[in-house]
Amino acid sequence: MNQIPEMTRRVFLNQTLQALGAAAAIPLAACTVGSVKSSTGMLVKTGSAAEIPPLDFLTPDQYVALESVTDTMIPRGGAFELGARDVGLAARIDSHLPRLDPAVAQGFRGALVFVEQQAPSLAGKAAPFSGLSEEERTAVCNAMLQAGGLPAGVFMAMKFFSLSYFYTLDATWKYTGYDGPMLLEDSR
Amino acid sequence: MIVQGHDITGPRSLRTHTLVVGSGSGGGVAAYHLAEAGVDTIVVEEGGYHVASEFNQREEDMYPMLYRSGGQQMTSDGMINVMQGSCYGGGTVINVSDAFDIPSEVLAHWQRTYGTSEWTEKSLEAPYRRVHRNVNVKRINKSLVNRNNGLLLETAQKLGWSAEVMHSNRKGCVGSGYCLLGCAYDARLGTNLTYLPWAVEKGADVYTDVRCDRLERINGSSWRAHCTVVQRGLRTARLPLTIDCERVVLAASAIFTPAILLRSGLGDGLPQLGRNLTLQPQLGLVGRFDEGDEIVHWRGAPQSVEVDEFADNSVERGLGGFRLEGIGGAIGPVMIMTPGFGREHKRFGKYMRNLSATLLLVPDQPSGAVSYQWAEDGRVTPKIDYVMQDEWKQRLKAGMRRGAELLFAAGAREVAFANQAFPPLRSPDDLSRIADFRIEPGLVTFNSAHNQSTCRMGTSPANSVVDQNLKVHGLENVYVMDGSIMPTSAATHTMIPIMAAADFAVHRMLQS
Repeated sequence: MNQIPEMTRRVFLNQTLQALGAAAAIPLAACTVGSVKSSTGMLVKTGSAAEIPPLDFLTPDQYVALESVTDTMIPRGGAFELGARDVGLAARIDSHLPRLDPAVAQGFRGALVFVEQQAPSLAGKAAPFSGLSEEERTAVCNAMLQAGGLPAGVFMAMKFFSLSYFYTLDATWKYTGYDGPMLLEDSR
Repeated sequence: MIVQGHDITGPRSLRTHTLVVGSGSGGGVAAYHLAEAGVDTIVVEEGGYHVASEFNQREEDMYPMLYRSGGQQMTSDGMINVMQGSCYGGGTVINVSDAFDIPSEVLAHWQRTYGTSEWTEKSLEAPYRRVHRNVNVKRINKSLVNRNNGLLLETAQKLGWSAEVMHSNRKGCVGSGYCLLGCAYDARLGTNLTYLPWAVEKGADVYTDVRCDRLERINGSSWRAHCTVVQRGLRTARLPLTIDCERVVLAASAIFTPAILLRSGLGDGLPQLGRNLTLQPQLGLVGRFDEGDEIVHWRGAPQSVEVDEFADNSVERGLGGFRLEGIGGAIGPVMIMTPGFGREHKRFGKYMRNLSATLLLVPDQPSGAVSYQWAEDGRVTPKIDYVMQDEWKQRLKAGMRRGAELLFAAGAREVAFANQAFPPLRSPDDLSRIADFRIEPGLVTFNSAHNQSTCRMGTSPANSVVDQNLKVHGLENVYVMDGSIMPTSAATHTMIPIMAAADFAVHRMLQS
């Protein structure tokens, strides 16, 4: 398990996405079993062959991590079949990040670094988050919540982005009953 | 004339008599009455100029367009989302239109504690009369009270609790429900549709996409405002702009007005500047009802009913107790309030039409402070530190219990709070679990829509930043007219109190 530098730990303790932005620039040594170090320093699961669409903000390895996060937050099945992967949720989030406050968007990168590389150890996992099974990723998220403080704050940020951009997407509305904007041209 | 930042192509130097910084509740009102009196006036607003045809009722587009930091401005511990409008019209473009005056107990509390003897119900009568007329304050039409709010009213009445339909500043509302995303029908009479265009008609100029960075004293009692024309959206610096003036009215909110004074080096001798912050943190409650019981919280007026049975205002402390109000109109935030994730959480999505959304409003005492970091280009990042008081936490838990009781009595099958680690209550038998509710960063998220008190009004620099005329102590011709002047929380909804305060102060200024 890589130890996060003390300075970054203190920055993390601010609990804001702005503060988390600092983490995105921190190089971390690749030593995790079952992972490789990408060109930008993030660990990604070995043999990951996920199809990566053209990206507006995230790097490919960050995208892979985000796709795993969104799939954990909103998997296929359950109360309705549609899941995050079905709607390309990670790509949708990536396309919106450049429009956000730069500090928030950069902080989101930092939060992804934390989830991918630091959070698995909370559940006793050595592999990066994107290299874990769904059951293991669920255990990691539960461990983040139980830990409180920084890990819980990062979990909250991940949930916020995942749910916000999922349930506001038109393709989900037939499953939820949301009838969308009401723009009556006659009244405008 | 309204000048948008993208129309400015080179550095500019302007001159006016009175510069108003901010175009929301305070700035809009001040600008109009100054212009109406023939005072040469310029308004600068950091946010962009937007109109109803741009308001597409989509959260992913409107939050970045209309809110400070895209709606993601947080306290430094990450526990409170401090929401602020940041556009032409400020918060009056994105609030839920609720119209409340300052309760008499609050005014009495201020008089007793802060010496504000000139702020009385009598002295505020004329300002309220003008404000109510100008933004059309009326009780909300019952046809706009949706089921989400209506069940609060009906159930409170069954329980014998005091509750009523609120007042608002709407006209011609069609009940689309998206007040929080800017009204696509121009039915919410914010300053963007009233005071600001009226000010322009009277000769004022409004510059949007322009941030006021600092003030410099020139020629004795005159001022030069050093401003920056920013890129719309990302707010990166584009061009310098200076405005020389005789008088400055700061109306940039309790979060940002202190930043301008501090960066200007004007904080010396003002020990209360940036302190005493009140946020009125609000906690969300979500009720899940039976599949056949459609709530559809996002249609109709989002917030139209208040349950005020447990409000407890007093001369000793001002606002007290707690209130419950319906809320709706944005599906993302309501989904996030519900705890959990994964397949288990998707049931909340499936039953979205059966979810009720309620806010628990617990007024606070001054409990925070704001400090700042400035980037080289002048961009300011506030650090909002806030400490929840034990007494406040006790009232919060009492309010959670009453809120859950109300929702179960209304027929809810489960009640969830905006806490990721607190499983929903399944029946009234679970109410005792509220005692174990953990109020910790990372687990629970509160919202704040009413930041106040960082430049509070009082009788001396020792206890305040501005005097009863809202002039900054010790500074000639610098005034503050926003929520920051309220000594404590003025009301559960602060648009009208801020408007009335600006009206009061400008009329005094003009009389003198």
